[in-house]
Amino acid sequence: MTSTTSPRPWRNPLTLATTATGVASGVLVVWLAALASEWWRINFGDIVTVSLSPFDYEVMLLNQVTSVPLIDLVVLISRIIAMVAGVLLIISAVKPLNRWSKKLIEYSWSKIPSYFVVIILIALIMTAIVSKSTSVIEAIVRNWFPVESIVANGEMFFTGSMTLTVTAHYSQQLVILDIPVTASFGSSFYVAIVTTALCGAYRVLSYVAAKRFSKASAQGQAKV
Amino acid sequence: MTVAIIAGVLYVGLAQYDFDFMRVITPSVEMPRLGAPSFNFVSYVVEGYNPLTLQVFVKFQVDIEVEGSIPVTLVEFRGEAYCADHGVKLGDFYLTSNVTINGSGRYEFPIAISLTPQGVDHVRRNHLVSSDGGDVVEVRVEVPEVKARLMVGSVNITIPASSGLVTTVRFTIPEEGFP
Repeated sequence: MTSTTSPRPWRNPLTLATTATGVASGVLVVWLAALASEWWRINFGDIVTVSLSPFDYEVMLLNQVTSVPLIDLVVLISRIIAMVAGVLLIISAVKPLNRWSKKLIEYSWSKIPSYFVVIILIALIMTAIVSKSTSVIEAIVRNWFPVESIVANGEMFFTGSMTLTVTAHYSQQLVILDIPVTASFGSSFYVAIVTTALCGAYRVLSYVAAKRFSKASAQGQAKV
Repeated sequence: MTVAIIAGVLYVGLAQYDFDFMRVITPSVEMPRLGAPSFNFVSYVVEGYNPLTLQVFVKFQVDIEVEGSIPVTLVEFRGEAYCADHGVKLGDFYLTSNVTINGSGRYEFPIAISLTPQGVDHVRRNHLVSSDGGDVVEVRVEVPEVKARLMVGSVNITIPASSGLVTTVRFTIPEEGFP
C-alpha cells in the first residue's frame, strides 16, 4: 500500500476536527459535572427558591436549605455518570475511528443532551404549572396554609417574572399575598447548550469520519 | 456501566438510611410553623404635636410573641379613630416608618395621629377635665378597622381590614404644651 492510497486518518482534517470536538465536549462535560452549578432557578418571593441542575439541586425554604435524600442520590448518580461519560469522550477522541472508540462514543455522547432535555422539561412543566395550573400549587400549599385561591398575574415560559396573588384566611382574617415569581437560567445552562451541540457534533463527525475511513480503506484495498 | 453506577450508589445510599424508604423520601427540614402572633401593649410616649396640622406623634411600645424567627416588616398600618361614646371621628392614624419584627420581643411603633378639627373640639368640650397637674384628657377610642401591609422577603401581604378595638386613652396635657 502506498502513501497516496492509505487513508492515514490521524492526518485527515476531518479526523482532527473529530478529535478536537471530542476532547472539547469531554472537557466541558467533566467541567459541568464537577462544577454542578445551577442551570435553572425559580424564586417565589425570596421565600422559596429552587435551583436545579442535573448534578445538584437546592431548595431554600425561608432561608433554610431542605433536601430529600432520594434526590440527593439521584443527582449524585447523574454526576458520576456524567464524569465517567466526559472522561470516556476524551479517551475516545484520541483515536475516534477505532472500534472501541465507537463504543465509548455511543455510551457517552448522549448524556449531557439527555440531561439538557430533562432540565428543559422540568423548567417547562414548573413554569406551566405556575402560569397556567395554579390549582396544583393550591393543593400543595393547602397542606400548610389555608389558601382560598391563587391567581397568576402574567405568564412565564422557562424564564421571566410574574406575580401570584394568594387569598387566604389566616386567624379568621382575610389576607392577600402578592408573591413575585422569577425564573432564570444560570450561566451553566448556556455552557450546557454549547456542550450539547459539541456532543452532537462529535457523534456526527465520528460517524462521518468512520464512514469515509472505511470507504477509503475499501477503495485502497481494491486498488491493491 | 450506567446500571452498575445506579445500583452501586443506590445501595450505598439506601444502606446509610437502613433501607428505610420513608426516610429516604422525607425532606430533611421541617416546615416553619405559622402561628398567630400575640401582642401586648406596654406603653406609649407622645413625641410631638403640630398645632397647625393637628398631628400628634406617638411611639407605642408593644411586646410581641411570635413562633419562629421569620423577619416581617410592617410597612403600612392605618385606620380611623372615633369617640366610642359619641361616635365623633377624632382622626386618622398611620405608621410613619417601617418596623421590622424579627422574633419575639419589644418593638416600638411610630404612629402619627392626624386629628380632625371637630375631633379636637369634641375632646375639648366632652373629655377634658382640669386638675392641679394640668388638663387631663380621658376618652374611649374606638378603631373600627385597621388596614395593614407587611413584607416577608419580597412577598407583599395585605390585610385589607382587621377587626377593630376599643381602648381608653388617658393623658395629661402639660402646662407648657407638647414638646
